[in-house]
Amino acid sequence: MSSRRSRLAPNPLRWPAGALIALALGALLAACGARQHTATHAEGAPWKVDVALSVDARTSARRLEDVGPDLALDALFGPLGAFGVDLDLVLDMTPSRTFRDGSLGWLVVFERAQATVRRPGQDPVAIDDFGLQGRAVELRTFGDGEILVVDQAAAIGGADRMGDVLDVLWPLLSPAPPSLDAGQEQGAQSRWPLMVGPQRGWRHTLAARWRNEGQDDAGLWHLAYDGPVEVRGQDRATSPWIGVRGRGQAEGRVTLGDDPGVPVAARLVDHDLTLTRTVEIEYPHADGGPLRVTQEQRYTAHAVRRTP
Amino acid sequence: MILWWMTAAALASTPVEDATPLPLYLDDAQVRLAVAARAEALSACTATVADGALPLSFAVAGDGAIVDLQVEAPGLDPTCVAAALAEHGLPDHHGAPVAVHATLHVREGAARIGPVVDVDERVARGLFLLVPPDLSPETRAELLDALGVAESGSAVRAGPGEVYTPAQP
Repeated sequence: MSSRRSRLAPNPLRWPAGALIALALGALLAACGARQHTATHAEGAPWKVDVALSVDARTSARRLEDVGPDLALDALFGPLGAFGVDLDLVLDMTPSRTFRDGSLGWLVVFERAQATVRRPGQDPVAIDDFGLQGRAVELRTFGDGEILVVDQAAAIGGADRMGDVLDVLWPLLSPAPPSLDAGQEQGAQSRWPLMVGPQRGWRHTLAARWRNEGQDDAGLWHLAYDGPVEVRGQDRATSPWIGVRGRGQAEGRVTLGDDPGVPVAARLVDHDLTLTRTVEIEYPHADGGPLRVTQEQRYTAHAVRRTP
Repeated sequence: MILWWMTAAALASTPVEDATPLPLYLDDAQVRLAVAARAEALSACTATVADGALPLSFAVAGDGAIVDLQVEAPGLDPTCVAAALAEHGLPDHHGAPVAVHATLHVREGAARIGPVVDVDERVARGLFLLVPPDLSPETRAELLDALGVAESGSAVRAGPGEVYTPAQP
């Protein structure tokens, strides 16, 4: 492992000296013209990220007002008692545009999204397509990995497509490490919002302790982090609105390429992330009276950028 | 590295001022414009069709293809209608097939699409709760109904278009 400084978090607003050459090349590319249609607006070279993501969940519910034994509640949450979902995802990532604040857009297409559902004592059930496959969003980040927005997440959110509860994908694709020397540790806070509409969605805050574990012989940087996660959100499609809050813990290991001039999302080689969170959702309009649902969720995710 | 710089250069050459969403999904206006522009092409299919207002439904697949076309009238060839609608291609998109409901009006063999074109809009329903994807849509809907989760975050447009009768000459 090398001991030199990694410059892991380049200033997103500062372009290196090669920018002039790059701009000339950019003008050349721009002159090639872009197809005027809806689905593909991205410029630049795409790459693929393979993601293996497993989530185990355990759900319980109780009335906010004590009504004694509630058989209807038990029946309702029977299918959600304890289960796991293994997801096999292939994400196609393409740089899409630069915003004036220096942030970058990444078109992320769910090229493959297949699931297998596990339940205790039952055979696994494979689901080829649950609606996420083929969908796309634009992930907007700063060069240091900070996530600003996952735009058009309405297309992936909801109980059928699960895109809102698969929000761990975004920090998985774009972690936000601080700039560290090899061997150094530092705290850094990162957030990832997932909104499917105005006042409909949630935001996670990770207060992580990052460690730069150094550079390997191939020039790749290895980092690790862990820290508590806080969750706040709401769904104001109803009034009174549905609220969600939660706490958890995340830890991960990230491998990045060695060029500080390249945005983190484009430097990502691989990323292992474990997130455990307990979320409490309050449903004020539930049949039989206001309800609080508690779901313990444990995610283990491995993302690896596919080599050409 | 060179590839990245070429990419970065392409990005840097056209910074955008605001966060106007990328056109990843079809919206109502796009569909209405595209469908309205097909009237002349549709007239080739309706030359021998009696005057009337015909419910017309179809879906626009991700590649812009017309699928699940439903329109019926004596003397009307649905494959001709599908070809006319798809003549210049509808916009491709990243959504699931988008269901469209409209009314095809025939007057003296000429076709026109009614001014009301309904486009089914999906609403993300049931946030924050991980629900296993092997539940049937009916079971999932029952669960969300029981939780009191709204069926729409905004207006949902679905179902056949309003029947429109053009003014007689």
